[in-house]
Amino acid sequence: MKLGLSPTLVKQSLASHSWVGVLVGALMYLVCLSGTLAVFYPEFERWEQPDVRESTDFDPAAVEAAYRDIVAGGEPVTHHMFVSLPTPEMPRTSISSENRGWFLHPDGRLGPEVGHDWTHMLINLHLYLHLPSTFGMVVVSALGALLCGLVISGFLAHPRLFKDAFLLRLGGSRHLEQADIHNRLSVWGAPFHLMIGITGAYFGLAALMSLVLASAYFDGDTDALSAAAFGAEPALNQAPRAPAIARAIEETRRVAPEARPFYVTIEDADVPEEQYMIVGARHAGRLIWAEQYRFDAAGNYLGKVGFSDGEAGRQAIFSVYRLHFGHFGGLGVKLLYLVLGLALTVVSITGINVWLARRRGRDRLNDLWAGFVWGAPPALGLTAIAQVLLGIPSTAVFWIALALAMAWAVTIRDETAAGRRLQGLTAAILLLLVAGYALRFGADALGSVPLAVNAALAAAAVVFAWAAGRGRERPAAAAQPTR
Amino acid sequence: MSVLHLTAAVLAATAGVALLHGAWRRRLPRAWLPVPAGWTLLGASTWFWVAGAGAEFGVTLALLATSLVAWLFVWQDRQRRERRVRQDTPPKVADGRSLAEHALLFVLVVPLAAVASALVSTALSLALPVSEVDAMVVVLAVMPVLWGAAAWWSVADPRPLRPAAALTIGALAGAVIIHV
Repeated sequence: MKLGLSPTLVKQSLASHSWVGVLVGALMYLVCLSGTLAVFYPEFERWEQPDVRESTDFDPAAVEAAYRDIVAGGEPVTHHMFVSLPTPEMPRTSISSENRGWFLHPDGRLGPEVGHDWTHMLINLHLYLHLPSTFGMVVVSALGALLCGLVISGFLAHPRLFKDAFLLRLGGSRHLEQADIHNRLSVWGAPFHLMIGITGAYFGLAALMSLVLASAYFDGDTDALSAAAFGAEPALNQAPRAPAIARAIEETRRVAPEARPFYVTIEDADVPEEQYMIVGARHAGRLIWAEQYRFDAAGNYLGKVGFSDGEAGRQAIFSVYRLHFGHFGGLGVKLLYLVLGLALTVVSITGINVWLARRRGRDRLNDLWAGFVWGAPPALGLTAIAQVLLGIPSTAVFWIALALAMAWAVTIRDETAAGRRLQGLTAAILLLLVAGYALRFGADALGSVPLAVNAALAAAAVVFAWAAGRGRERPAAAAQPTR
Repeated sequence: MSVLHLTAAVLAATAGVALLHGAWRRRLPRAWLPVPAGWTLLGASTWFWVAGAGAEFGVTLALLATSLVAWLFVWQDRQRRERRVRQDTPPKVADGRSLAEHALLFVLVVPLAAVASALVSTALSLALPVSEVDAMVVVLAVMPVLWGAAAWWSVADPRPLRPAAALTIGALAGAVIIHV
């Protein structure tokens, strides 16, 4: 079965696909790799601090008392203050300002300070590529839009879309092999790729688009737009008092018994006369991140925003996050996102590989690319050793390690050997990380989540070691001659 | 989601993909019947997902799970060939564009396509018979796709001034409609 596309259109679409792919491929690879791992950020946060006591039970009165203790202890009240309530996925209670936070023991006493620096490094790589956040998020969102363009041009560049839908030729010419892997993963993964592209673009472009949309619908008033989409802020003029967090949680349970509160945000916390509370609650079977129930400082119910049953658009806006990160449906969906995310990562790599193979020759670009692709996993492993085991800030570690891997790949002038050795290095680093983790955290490393994460890291080390060894077994088949 | 719904959804998806595989790999004698039957079974699989997990989760899971099933068929059907060792020759320059032409394409693909898609999608949304919030969400979903399509056209067109002119006119028209 062939699509009725003219040869000229196919040729031009292929050229377009190639040009845009080369433009974004490298950044797309980092965003996809870090995004695939970021699906598991709650597990990584728990792994990063395994000594925090966990429980899905909490006493609202104890949470409120702890909040008062933190403020009375001299912690500056910032514009927003946050209370995270325990859930089965994250059975930890914490109270945070915009600057720092503390866990609460199950009995309500203050526990250790929240410290998820490595997980934040990983998430910031995905969200901003470690660029300044506003600019970085626009860059990453642009990648989302261009991913949509790549899906479109990819389909138009493939006249035998259906006939070849199951064709995978491994070995033979490198160009054909890489193209087959790229095309098969792309065609069947297209729904996921489009969804990731559109929802990913939303995060960074929504703020910019709000300027255009406000002009179209609200005479340029972005506050009015925000109120229409996310609910207007309640106008309060109340006597200053400490926020009645416990009452707000209890009231939420009363007005929405079907919902499960999992966070409280104190808005305008630094302006006591105007402050109000938002209790975010999860609704079973819904993609929305939360329904927001609002309360004044005394805990009097003001109403809900309507993310669960309001306009379709309002429901859709609050469904973007969970759809993008696969945080619905439990571990099974996360594993599904892991496979699909890795596939999109491979698509990013093989796209560039196809372009390199079509050049019918090789130069330093081949070596740089091999160092970049296979240098990122050990660089991420090193960041975990630096941050989690040694307490060294890890953002610079990542980029320095990646740059060193690329420079080293250029010096040895053999992309296959570079890839193989970096795979072996990744295996060694991951095993070192697991061993160091066990030494650093002792019995706390045996908790269910730390154990699962370490087992996954060890399994990944085995896969990388196998890949490195597999390449060594057939040097004649895969070797790329040097200059 | 019940085990029954899950099993039915996975079996229907597997059967549907198997029929498409058989038809497109020419392993079934009459291609006209297996193809619609395959798509119908994929539709049935979606129905089972929705019945078991609700509309929002169900549709999402149906689309994602089908990808996974199809990749299993692709992997099962893979062919192995002897690796051909590449000759050590200097890279052939595949793209004859100058640096200035690449720079022009970048301007078309990134800022101009972005601005044009933002303004055109917003202007078109004003004609939608829906609420303001719903229209804005439609814009946020359509704009990246429109941007991607504009990026494709900008590079695919052998005369880049054509998409440049069209995107500029589209952006200006959109801006006028929005602000008037």
